Amino acid sequence: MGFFLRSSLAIVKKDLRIQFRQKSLLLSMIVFALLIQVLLHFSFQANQAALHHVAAGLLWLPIFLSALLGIGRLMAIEEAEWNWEGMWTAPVDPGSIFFGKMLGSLLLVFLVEWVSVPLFFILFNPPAPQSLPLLIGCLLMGTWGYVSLACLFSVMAQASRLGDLLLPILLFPVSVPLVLAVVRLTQIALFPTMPGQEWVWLAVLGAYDILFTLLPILLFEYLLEV
Amino acid sequence: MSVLVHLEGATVKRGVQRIIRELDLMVHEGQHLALIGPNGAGKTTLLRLMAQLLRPDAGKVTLFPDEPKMQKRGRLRSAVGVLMEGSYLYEGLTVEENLQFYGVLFDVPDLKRRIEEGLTRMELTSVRHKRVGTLSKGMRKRLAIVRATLHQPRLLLLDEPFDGLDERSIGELQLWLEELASKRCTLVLISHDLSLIQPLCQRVCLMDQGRIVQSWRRDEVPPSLWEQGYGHWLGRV
Repeated sequence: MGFFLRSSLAIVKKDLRIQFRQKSLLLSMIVFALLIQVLLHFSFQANQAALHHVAAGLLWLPIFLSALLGIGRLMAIEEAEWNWEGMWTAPVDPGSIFFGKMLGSLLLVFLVEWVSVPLFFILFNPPAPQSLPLLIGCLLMGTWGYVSLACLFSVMAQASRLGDLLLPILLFPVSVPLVLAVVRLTQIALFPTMPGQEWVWLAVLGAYDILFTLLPILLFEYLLEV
Repeated sequence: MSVLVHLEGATVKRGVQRIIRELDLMVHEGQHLALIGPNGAGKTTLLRLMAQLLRPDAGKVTLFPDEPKMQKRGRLRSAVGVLMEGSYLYEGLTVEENLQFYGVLFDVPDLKRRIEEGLTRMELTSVRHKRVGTLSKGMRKRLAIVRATLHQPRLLLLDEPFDGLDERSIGELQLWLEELASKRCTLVLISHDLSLIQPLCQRVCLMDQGRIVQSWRRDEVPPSLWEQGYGHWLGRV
């Protein structure tokens, strides 16, 4: 387990070092998320009444789309000099390669959220969250599950001829349960009037996170071979 | 001497085309084998099979068949060094950071010293803090060689290691490979330049159309091979 984590952390460190040095990817992700948020703000400016129904979607849409943009690029850095193969030749558990790539992506998406979530509250002025811990928990768990799934499909997409184009086609249908769960949980966290079923949705989200973290770790050896 | 690589009837197909055709080969420990042949002969595919980067469609490829404990993925990978078409390097990282990264993945003991030795040997100490993206092709190649040998593998598989190197670096690399060879490191290399592999190899295999068409021990290699190339043996003079 020690070597598994050590190799994963080496991959995280390497990815973040490259991204912070180049800055372009993180900046693009943040700017993209902000632009979507601003566009959505203009679209819903005239109809504040509708905000209650769509607030959760407005919070998550920029996160999902900017994550999609970033993860595709983050995986692509392993293509340039056959670096997937380079890591494959090392005596590491192939699952640790996936886990490292996933953690690195997750940290980048959290940084985007650090900017885009406050902006959501500034632009749309929803009521203060009924349950801040629930909102934070939902953001953490929702992002974890989505990023894990996006990393899995991104590796699969890179191996195909369609490349990045395939990623949204694979990702969006499979992420429907996760999207449902995070949207419901965000609504419950934001609006006191929403009926509370948070434990059910938290369980769905938790199960989803566990499944789509463990599955790629176990199957990554076969994915890399393809 | 124990066998390190054993291919039995290995076949690799791409579509209907057979890249490697029922190939049998044994590489013994400490042996230095050169694979030569024209483009498309299957040399790189054979090297990829040996590196277990590719599975044969038929037949069997076994590394360290005499050592049951080496059949675990981790142990096997620790004992094999690979230099293929891609350099496996990250352009956004410095020379030293690249080596540190792979050093952790290969669980290299005394990593600092090994990096220092490799950089000194390949004359890269002056660029250790430079990003790989700013290095020349030759420097990248030298760095890729340091990366491939950082964990002191028992079996070293090199695809065109001299490609892109200047004369001085070629001399350095030849010396280094000779030194590795003297430490019983098993070497399998591909090169188009026969004069470069001549001093290194104990065995030469000529490949064509996915098969080994000729195999010579060092003392059996006809001088005309070094002087005129392999065209004669392929009927293409």
